Amino acid sequence: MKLLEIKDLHKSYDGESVLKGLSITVEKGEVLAIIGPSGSGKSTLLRCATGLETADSGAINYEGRFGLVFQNFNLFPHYSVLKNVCDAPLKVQKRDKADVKKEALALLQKMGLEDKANAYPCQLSGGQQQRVSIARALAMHPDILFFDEPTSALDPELTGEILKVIKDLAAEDMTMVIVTHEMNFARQVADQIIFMEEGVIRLAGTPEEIFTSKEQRIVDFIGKVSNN
Amino acid sequence: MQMNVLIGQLATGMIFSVAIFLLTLVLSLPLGLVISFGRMSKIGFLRGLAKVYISIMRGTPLMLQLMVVYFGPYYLFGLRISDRYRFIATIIGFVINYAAYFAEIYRGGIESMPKGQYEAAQVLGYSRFQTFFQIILPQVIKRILPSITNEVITLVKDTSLAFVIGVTEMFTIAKQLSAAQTSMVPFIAAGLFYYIFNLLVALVMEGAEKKLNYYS
Repeated sequence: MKLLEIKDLHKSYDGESVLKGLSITVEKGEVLAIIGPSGSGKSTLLRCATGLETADSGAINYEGRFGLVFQNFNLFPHYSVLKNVCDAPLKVQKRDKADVKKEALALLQKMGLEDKANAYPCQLSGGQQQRVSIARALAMHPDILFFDEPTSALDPELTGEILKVIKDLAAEDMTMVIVTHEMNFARQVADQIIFMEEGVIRLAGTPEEIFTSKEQRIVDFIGKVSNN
Repeated sequence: MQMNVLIGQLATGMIFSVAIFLLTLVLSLPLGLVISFGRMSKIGFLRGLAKVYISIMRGTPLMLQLMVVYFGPYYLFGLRISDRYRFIATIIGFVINYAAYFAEIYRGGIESMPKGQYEAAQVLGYSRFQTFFQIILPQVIKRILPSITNEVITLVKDTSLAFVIGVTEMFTIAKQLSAAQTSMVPFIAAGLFYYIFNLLVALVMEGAEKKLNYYS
């Protein structure tokens, strides 16, 4: 079943074309990783898909709800960890308070943060904040979850904990679209990888197809990024 | 004159000063927010209007503004000025002046908020109203509290300007007593009143800042 279908997406800023006719589909249970150099339009694609930017033309069709995990977490600093997770399900979805709280605590436990429910974001490490933001997104019961470079704002030693959380979600058949620079991670977790450059999809395929590609540009990119 | 009589008279004036102070705050803080919305509006006309308004309010003396509000109805429209209007005019004058200052403080605070807070709220499905009043404004208040404290302390002292349109607030009374007794004592006593008033204000504002210090 298709959860997301993007057709011929175009977007430009000040006459500069950033997306040049992009089409992707995401099937239920699929993990799609989007890789590519800075300025290739990966983040813009995600921002258009999640409604944070309006595309100039093209179609975006969803089945169900989506959630987004930001690079910089964007937690609400004046809310406790628990309130960050509970607030939108309560205020936006108007769900039952006891249910929401119970589920939020379970999500925090799953993220290894059960003892942080009453802490405030500023008291947490970056990795912990990112896990809270994943819990916050999951609490809304998204059918598809987007990640915008979820480890780019973290110290290298903290990226592992986030990647593990995402892997666990993949094992539970969560549908995800992940923009990332972590090549090995993309290779391990993704069902499909899209290599983007200059606003177009250069190559799309399974991790094996991408990582064994003979196309020079992709060999160069993977070699360069992996050596970092 | 006995000291306690002096203090009693000043205290009566103090009631007016406090009334001007409280009414001005209660009315100008929300009005300032509305004006800051105008100042940040996407509609050019509203933005220009708010800009001109703020510019005039900040660019001319409060004393003059009070006189315009008080005498304006008579000079412009020939309306008879009732005695009750004295106090109302004072409140109007103070409110429209302070709202302009507060508007700029709000604007500074709102514009300093990271875009990510709006984006997170949007993706989670909060309405624009919820986003502003639940996510943005509480954080803005924390950021602008020190600037608000400055204005509030200035307001305590500015209440003395009501004397120009004959409101018998504390300063007016101190002036009368001083003239009658040819003594500095009433002025010194009035100064003490203002000072203590402001100490209390500073204490309350400091408490509020501490209360919001639970996050950074």
